[in-house]
Amino acid sequence: MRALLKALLLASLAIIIVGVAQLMQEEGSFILSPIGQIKLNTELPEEPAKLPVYKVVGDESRFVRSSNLWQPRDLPSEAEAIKLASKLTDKYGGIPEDAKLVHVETIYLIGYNLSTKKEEERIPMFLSLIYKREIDRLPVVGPGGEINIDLGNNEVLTFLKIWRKLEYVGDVKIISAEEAFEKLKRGEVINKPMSPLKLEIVQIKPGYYAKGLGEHQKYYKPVWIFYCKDEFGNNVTLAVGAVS
Amino acid sequence: MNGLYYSHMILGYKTTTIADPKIADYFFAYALGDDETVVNSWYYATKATYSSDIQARVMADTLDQFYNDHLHGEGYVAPSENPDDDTFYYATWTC
Repeated sequence: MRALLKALLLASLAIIIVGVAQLMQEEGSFILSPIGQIKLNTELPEEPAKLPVYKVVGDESRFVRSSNLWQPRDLPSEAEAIKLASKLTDKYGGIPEDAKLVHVETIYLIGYNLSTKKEEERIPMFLSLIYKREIDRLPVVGPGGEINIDLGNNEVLTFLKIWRKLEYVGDVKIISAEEAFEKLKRGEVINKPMSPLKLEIVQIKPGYYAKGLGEHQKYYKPVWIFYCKDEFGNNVTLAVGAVS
Repeated sequence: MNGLYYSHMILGYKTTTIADPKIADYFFAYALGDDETVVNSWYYATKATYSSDIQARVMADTLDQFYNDHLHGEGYVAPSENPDDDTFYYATWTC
């Protein structure tokens, strides 16, 4: 009898442990990983079997800064700023044809009163435009492959272009999106978040990862890009190496 | 703003960010090497380090601090606000 009770107790314990482990593994359909909790909320795309690799053969990066960035200004409209940006940036090397405008925003300095919980002032400072690179219509993620332009009154305040000259060297076999998802679950991402996150993957695409300003990069190799939303609705983009 | 009396400002992010130690290198290169203001140094350090997925933010107690504060020994430092008026100033940008 005692042996039977012992066996029942052990079996119950085992069931509880397995249950808790499963709960920890999947809260809803969130999966625990070293980068936090991940939920796949999109289809895994059909993989291209191969993608091109590019060798970096030059660097057109440039960073122009202004000490007078933060001051009140009368600014052109955002539509006018787009026209002005291409005209005013020619002397810094301009905007290449494969750069796609992804963001235009007026940057304000905002005064906020904690007692009244009201915005007291909203002072326009400058206009910010961001262009992103595409290679063969595939997105480039990471701090490189972007052009940041800040405009004041008919003047360029900031020009940050992280842009490398590329030369096609050949195609490589790439892993499937499913294999890339397994790597993501193991935390094998190129750009690690600062702390564990709760992420929903909303889109998966092949593309390239470009390193930041002043960083050496010999090749642009294919990556799988996981476009995610965190629990606050912010975009989080993670890249996983795709070369097989 | 009470929490910012002696500290003058908070440099941070609006969104989740990526772990990248270069942010400190850039910030101190601009703030110490080029004697830029604290806000300018943070702005350009975030732009140089991160992609446009990330949004950065700075909050300062007064306008004078926002526009003019340097790291100590690197230029003008605005006075702390006394008495406190409960207003603070902030700006947010896409990196």
